[in-house]
Amino acid sequence: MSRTFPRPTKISAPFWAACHDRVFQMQRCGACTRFVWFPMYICPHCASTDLHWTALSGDGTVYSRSLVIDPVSAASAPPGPLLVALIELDEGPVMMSNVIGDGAEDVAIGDRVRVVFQQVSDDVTLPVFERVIAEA
Amino acid sequence: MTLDPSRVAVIAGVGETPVGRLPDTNSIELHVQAAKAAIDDAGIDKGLIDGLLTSGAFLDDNIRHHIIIAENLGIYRKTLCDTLRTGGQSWCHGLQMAQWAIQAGRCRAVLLVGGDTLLSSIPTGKGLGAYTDYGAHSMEFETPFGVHVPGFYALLAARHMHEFGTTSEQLAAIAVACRKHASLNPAAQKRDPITIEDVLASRMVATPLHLLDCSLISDGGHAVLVTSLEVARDLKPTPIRLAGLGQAQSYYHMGHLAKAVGAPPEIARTHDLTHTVQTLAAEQAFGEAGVTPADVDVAELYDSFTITALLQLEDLGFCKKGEAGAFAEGGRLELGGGLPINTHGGMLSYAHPGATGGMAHIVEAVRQLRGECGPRQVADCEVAVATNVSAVSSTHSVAVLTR
Repeated sequence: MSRTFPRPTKISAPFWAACHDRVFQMQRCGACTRFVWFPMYICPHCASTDLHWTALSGDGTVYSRSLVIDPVSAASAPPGPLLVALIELDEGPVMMSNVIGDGAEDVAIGDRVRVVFQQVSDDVTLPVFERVIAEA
Repeated sequence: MTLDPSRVAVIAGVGETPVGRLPDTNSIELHVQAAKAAIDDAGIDKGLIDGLLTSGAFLDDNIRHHIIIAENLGIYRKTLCDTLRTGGQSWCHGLQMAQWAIQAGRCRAVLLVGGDTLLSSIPTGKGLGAYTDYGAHSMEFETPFGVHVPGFYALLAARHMHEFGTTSEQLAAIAVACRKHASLNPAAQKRDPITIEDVLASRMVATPLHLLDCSLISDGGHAVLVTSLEVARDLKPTPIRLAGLGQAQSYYHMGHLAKAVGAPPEIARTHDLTHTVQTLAAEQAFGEAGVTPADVDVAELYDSFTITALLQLEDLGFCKKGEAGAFAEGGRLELGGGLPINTHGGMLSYAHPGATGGMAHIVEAVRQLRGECGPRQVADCEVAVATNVSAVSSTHSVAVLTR
């Protein structure tokens, strides 16, 4: 196991600091109004520098998913397989993350998920996701 | 218009080392052995070589890797010399740079050479972690979540299955075809035939990819010598023409691939995770060659994973988007089928010694066009395609080769 911990940079530090405070935020472009992921110096859509940290709903949909049997680099160092997923956030961006909690291994593409925070070291808290079961 | 034969680029020599587990060697020696094999194959005077392209190495790398290799080969004067940092995509990319240098009259002979000892030099079970630490993929926003190289491609495969109904059996058919061809290639690392059931019964690495959906880990080296038709006419081998070349690169970050972040609208509308920019590379390569996928006799497709090859059947235009699963069924990709692929066994069964792995596809395409492949020869082989791919099918180079 060679755990990989994110190392915040000048541009990404606000994202990781917010995760530590259980706040899920990304940059939003004041010019084209689109959200930006991962943290950047200019908007990758329209090249504006008018980017503002903005809270997200934390809701999203599974875009793809794989149960990784031996997740060698996971910061969370799970004792077994880990559900790795691409999450399409309701605000637009697609991000890599994990689905954790009850039924995580059975999560399917198209399932609804919501962000939760998983502290993996003194310094690092990862945004991960749990399934949202629709009310009957 | 009559082309000036001094400005027409051809492949005049190919070479390789043995592949598999080679415990008593190193990447520098493998570069030298492969290069010498290609030089000897061409029968060219080494002093004529004035271009050298390498792709670095996982082991014994150097920021000026191309110079280290040049010194070890005694290639003093280079008017084109560099280390390509395009990973698995390096060699059809390198062919295009060589072609441009020949067409522009800036080089007379360009050597492409690679070699590595991934199998012998990295302890078993440590390879995925070592590659993660290499840092090709985002160490901040991807790998902390436990994804590794098979995991990236598993996410791609899962999405393709979701969108198009592709099955594990259809992916397995690619591994079966490669193994069948490797069984006919005495040089291949894995030669025992396998069935679709064997692939599905092999251990799961990252759903939906099983161990036999994944390429090998190998030691080995390969080399290709590009020169002008004018020079090649005085050499022994049949010159193989670089009829058409193309390349296209997007991004590594999977979130950006899924949304084609930053792409102009006309590209963004038509590209996402399962619609790769190989379409653009293919358009260039087939367009330059003046042929269509229907004209192709053999396709040597970069096969880091079964899904890597499957996607290319669509993006190169052999079938429509979403239909590659069905296309792969029924032995169509095997010798005797409509489109034999990876007649040397590919990276799934011949060898995958790191960045040089994709050069073997070019070497095999050249040998098929020369008619040198014995029991695995494709009859009347006149048009071959070789592809190189890297990084979750995000960067591509495509070569159409003809006699």
